[in-house]
Amino acid sequence: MIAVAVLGAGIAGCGGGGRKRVVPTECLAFQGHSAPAASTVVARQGSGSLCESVQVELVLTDVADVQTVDFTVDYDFDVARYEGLSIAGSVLTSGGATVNVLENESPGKVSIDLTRFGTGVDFNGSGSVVRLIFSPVSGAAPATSTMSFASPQIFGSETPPQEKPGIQWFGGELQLTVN
Amino acid sequence: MNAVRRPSRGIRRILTALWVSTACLGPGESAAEPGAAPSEADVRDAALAVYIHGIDEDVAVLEIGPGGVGPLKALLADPEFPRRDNVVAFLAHLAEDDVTTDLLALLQSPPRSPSVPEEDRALLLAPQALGRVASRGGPRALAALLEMTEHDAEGGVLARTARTAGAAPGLRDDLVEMAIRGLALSGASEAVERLTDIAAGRIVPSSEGRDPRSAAESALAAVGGREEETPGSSSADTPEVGEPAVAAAGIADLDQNLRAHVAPLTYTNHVDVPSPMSDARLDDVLREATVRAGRDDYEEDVACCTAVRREGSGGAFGTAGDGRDIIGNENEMNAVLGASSARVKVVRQIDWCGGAVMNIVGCSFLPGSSIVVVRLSGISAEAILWIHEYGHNVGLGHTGDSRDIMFGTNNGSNRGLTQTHCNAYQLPAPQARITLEDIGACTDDDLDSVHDAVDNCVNVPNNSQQDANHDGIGDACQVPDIDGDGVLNEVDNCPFISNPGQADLEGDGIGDPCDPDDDNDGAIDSADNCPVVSNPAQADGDDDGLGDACDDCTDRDGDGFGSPGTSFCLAGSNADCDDTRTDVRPGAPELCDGRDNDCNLVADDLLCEDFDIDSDNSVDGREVAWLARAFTLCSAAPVSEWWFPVDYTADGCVDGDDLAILSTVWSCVAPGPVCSP
Repeated sequence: MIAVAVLGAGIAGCGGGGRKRVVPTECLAFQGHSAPAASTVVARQGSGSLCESVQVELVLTDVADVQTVDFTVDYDFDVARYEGLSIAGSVLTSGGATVNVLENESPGKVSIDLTRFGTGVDFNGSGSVVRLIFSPVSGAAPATSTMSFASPQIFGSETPPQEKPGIQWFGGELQLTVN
Repeated sequence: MNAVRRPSRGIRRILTALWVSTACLGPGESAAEPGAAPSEADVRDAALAVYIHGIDEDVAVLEIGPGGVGPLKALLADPEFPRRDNVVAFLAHLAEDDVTTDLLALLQSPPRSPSVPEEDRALLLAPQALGRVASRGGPRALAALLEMTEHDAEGGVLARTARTAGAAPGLRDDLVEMAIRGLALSGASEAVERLTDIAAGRIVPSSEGRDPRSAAESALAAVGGREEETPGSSSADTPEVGEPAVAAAGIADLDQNLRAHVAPLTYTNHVDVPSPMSDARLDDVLREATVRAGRDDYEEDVACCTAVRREGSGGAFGTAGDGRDIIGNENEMNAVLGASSARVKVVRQIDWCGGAVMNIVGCSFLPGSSIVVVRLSGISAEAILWIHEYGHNVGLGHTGDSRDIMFGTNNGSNRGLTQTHCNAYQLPAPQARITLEDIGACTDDDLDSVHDAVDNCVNVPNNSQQDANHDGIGDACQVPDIDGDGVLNEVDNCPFISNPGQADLEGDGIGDPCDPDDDNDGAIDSADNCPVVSNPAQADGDDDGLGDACDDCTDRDGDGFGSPGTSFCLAGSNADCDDTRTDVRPGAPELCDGRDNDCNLVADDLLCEDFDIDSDNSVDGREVAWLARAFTLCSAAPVSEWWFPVDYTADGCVDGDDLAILSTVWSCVAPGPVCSP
């Protein structure tokens, strides 16, 4: 909230003084393309998003007994910069389980593995799994680019774990605007 | 070895005096501030010391000073204080005229046991003390002396003193003579007039008893300067008279030191000594003296193969009332030193030894064959006195080390002889006219730093020479097996502490329980990080409290693997190829960090295909899911377990090590290396 107030004051200042230099402000947003449906993983803009950092939330629908969620995100690194992630919801953390996070980042690509460790309780149903955080690339021109998933896998808690078949993943678009 | 003791206040003051004499004060030292009041404890300590060559004005000022007169008066009034002779001597030099009251009180309430030599001397010194106070203009002190020597007064207060003290015949006459000396010391004209009258027989202080005229004549001679006192001179520190000194024997003459020798000392008491030395007492005294000379107590001290013993029974010299029991001038000293009846002559009091000094306890030729001593109640003090004076006879002067037997002040604990001193005792100057007896080889079989010839328990280490029943046999030899370990003392390498196996690690003859440094590396066992293996540097690479020399496993990083590896290391005998890092050890997960984490001699040697359990050309969620599902599972037969493919360390458990490996290789693409070049 403090950041918003400061930003607002800056904008007012720009409009009131002709001799001051106007600093461009980039704003990033995410637009998902599918509504949640059974056996899907859908990306949507999280509620905590701001112009300077958008949260892309992955929501599972009707997927039971998840041990591992493993995927690679492809995005346009001329538009957005991957900042990190935070575990969301209770799909992986139900019962107090520990989530092990693996990340491997390269330009325009980030591989992520989220695995439930420890004595948790299997979660059945729908819910958020993770929030990916992106920020706009400073100085970039306004653009819209695709964010998609590659090699997505979800494993259950069988022994040994089995990949859950038939789950569809839906990405979306990162939209960069400049004020 | 004993630590260097801090000199007593008294000794420090003497040392200070020596330094002051050369205008060279040591760091932090300062001369006693004139008039500064010493504490009661300091005064007491100073009064308890034995000033072998007496107390003159310099000693009095340096030891206590005028500020200590109050505490001295309190000690004078305390009949239990053991050295009131010293107290009187100090007051004689320090007090003002009002001390007359205190000294007269002493004379009016003499000790019940005048046979205590220190109390006897306190009485005899009191009139002299009055004389010294009178010499500084004390009218009451002079008046007291004149009263004591009045015609037909029978000594006045002194008669009462003699009656009360009772035991010593002739005490009144002795005290009157002391009063006559006191008159001489005062130097007052009335005193000279009185002395002249007594010498002429016009005044006879006592109608019965000893004729005082000769004493008065001697006193007048002293007043006339024929026996001038030389206050502040070094006479008290060089009391020895007679033949010239010779240098102590040199190291080159030490062949005789391979043998032990005993010096036989003859002695005799003056007939008027109320507490004569006895054969039995002297045997104890000389035994103590011998132990002090024959024991190595500190670094500069040597276990000198010398001994002193009593030769014959003590006879008597002099005649009753001849005055030679109280030596007050050069003539009397020469007469006693010249007596050939024995080497050591025991008298009551000595007030002259190369100069007039109060309360001297020993005087001897340096070198020479004669010694005069008084009695001392303390056996240690008397032992040191006798061997000290004999040291002068063999050619030794004083030393500046307060631990030495030849130090000029006896503090009751002097016990050292340097090698040079020992040489002199072993090869006495010819003027000593003594024939040493060879008493055997200079050996120390039990290694207790007491040579065998004087050791009261030759085969059992007993440096203390403790001998509770004074039978000459050390306590260590009284019980055949004092520690009850089944090994007789004489062959027990640790006689006082049970050591049935006679463990003696380094074979030095001292059993391990008795050996403070079993490995002889200079580190005392209690502080040695490896007490049974020599490691002077005390190196402890892994800081585990065990020195490297005896540490079965030196594991600096605490990861269980040592360098070098040994079977005693917690994690096995394989060597840790970098014992400074916990992430490098045998079997450690290889990481992409440029290090050979698993100690297989290759750094970063990870191939993706080795971790791709489903052969889908990548390490991804499947491997992680497997590992997560199997996490913490273990098996004695892991090969047959479904999770064996993710037991990357092949240790039978899926654990953090495997997760660490997986974290490194996850998302790699097979075939190919995991780590970037």
